[in-house]
Amino acid sequence: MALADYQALKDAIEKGKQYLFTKNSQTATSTKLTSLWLTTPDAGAIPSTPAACNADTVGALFSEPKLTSLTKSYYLAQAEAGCFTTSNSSLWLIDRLCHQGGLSGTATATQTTNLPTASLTRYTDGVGVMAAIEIYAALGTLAQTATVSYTNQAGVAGRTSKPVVIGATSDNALGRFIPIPLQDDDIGVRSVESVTPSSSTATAGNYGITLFKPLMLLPNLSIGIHAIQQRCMNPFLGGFGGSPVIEDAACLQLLAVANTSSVGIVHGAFHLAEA
Amino acid sequence: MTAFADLSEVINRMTGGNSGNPENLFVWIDNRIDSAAANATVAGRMSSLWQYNSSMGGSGVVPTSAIAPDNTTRGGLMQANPSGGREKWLLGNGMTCSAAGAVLLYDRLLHNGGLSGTVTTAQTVGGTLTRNTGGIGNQIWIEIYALIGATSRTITASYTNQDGVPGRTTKPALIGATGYREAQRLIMLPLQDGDIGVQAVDSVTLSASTGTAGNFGVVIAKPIGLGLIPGAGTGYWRDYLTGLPGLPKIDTNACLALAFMANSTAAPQIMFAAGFAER
Repeated sequence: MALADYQALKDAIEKGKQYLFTKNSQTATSTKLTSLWLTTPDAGAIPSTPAACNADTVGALFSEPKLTSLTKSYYLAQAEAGCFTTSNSSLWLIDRLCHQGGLSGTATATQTTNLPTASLTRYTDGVGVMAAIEIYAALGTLAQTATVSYTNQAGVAGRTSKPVVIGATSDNALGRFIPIPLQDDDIGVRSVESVTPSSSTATAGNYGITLFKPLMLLPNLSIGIHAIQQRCMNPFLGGFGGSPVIEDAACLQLLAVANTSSVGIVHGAFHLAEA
Repeated sequence: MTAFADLSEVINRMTGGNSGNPENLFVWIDNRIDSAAANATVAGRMSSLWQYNSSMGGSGVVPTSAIAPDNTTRGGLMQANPSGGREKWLLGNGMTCSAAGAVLLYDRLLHNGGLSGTVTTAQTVGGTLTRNTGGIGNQIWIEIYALIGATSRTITASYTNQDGVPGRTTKPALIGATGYREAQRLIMLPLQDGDIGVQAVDSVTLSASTGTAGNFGVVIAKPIGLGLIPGAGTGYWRDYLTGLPGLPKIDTNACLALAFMANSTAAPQIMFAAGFAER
């Protein structure tokens, strides 16, 4: 339901829900995207077989009250975050749609272990849905590339992504989250059927494919301070101009980009406006 | 064009009221071009992200003739068009980025390719604008698609200005040699004295050969907004609702694209976000 006007927005925020979150410091690769899915407290589990994720999946943010217990539409109306670290960090809020694991960094041929990914239960047309490689145990130090074969937003199977780098120190660590650019003319993903590496990274490790929908960026948490004032964001006013509706089954999680080898402790709150 | 009446109307339409059709666009841009790593950027120089691998549309094509790309052309951000006779407005945008610098969001009105770094006579550009055809605010850029020569030269363009006057000549700009020759480099051409826009580019002319043909082209661009990335791993939010210059109208069929002003040699990885609503 749309908000009628500014007063309605204020009312919706007052009636809305506040969700506090804290994530302990996470080792990261400088300037590279890191998943906080396995970061305590309230860490998620390493997946194996393909599974659709939802608000009840362990590791999902916004756990109390459960999103599934809400009965109205909720917009992401405000966010505040602080970062205790000596780095600059930025966060992404995403809806983790489905995941799987058990892929090997030593494979030299197409892998189909625990694939295809589970069917989407949200954003089912795939438009704007992204795929990423998520590393659950460190891969090897040899830089390789990987492509995925996927079904695009039009339901066309057998599409081949652009190659992304995996392995080597920049792209092999636990937590690395590597979004995958799509084949020319595609704008989304419904499922991933296989992964093909160019060669072995020299260590098996463990990685998987995660499908996700970005919802919000929280850029530029400042160095070494509890930067609540600076990073209190309202997507309606002063934000990037988008206030996504939070699906009631959403499996929300954070990704981080830091400019050092640590994301640092992150905590803050999201505020949902009830429409 | 009908502007939003007030803040309340913006809030109403960006939550889907009154056929506001809000669009929250996210685009991941990797610092690779198909199977190869993108060239290192050059501090203080502009790089085009047109060919970078992306989650929306793959990567852009090097044009061969002068064409007017649109919102379905890969290389752009591929936002949806407004519906029902409404207009589309940019409410804000933001990004996180692996490298410090600045990002320019622009409408890629026209581009061509296949020009040579060794030809010393006028090289034809041509083509016809389909958006912002009056030309005010349009700029002429050179985009290098394949490495040209190591000898520093200048380049000028012969163009038609915002008043429809042909035969105008830009100021000369450096081309060739390090920082002005690598693929993805963008070189802005200042206009002739008194001009404030461009309706068409007839031709470009090198002062002499750069030494290598390579491949370059001309882009006619309409800048929309800048974003500043203060450090690697940071980003920005740019709010047009409460900040100047107000809400930019996004032309139907606009080919929104990004250019990157680097302050290091690190080619950027970017997650770009933008919010739109219709009126």
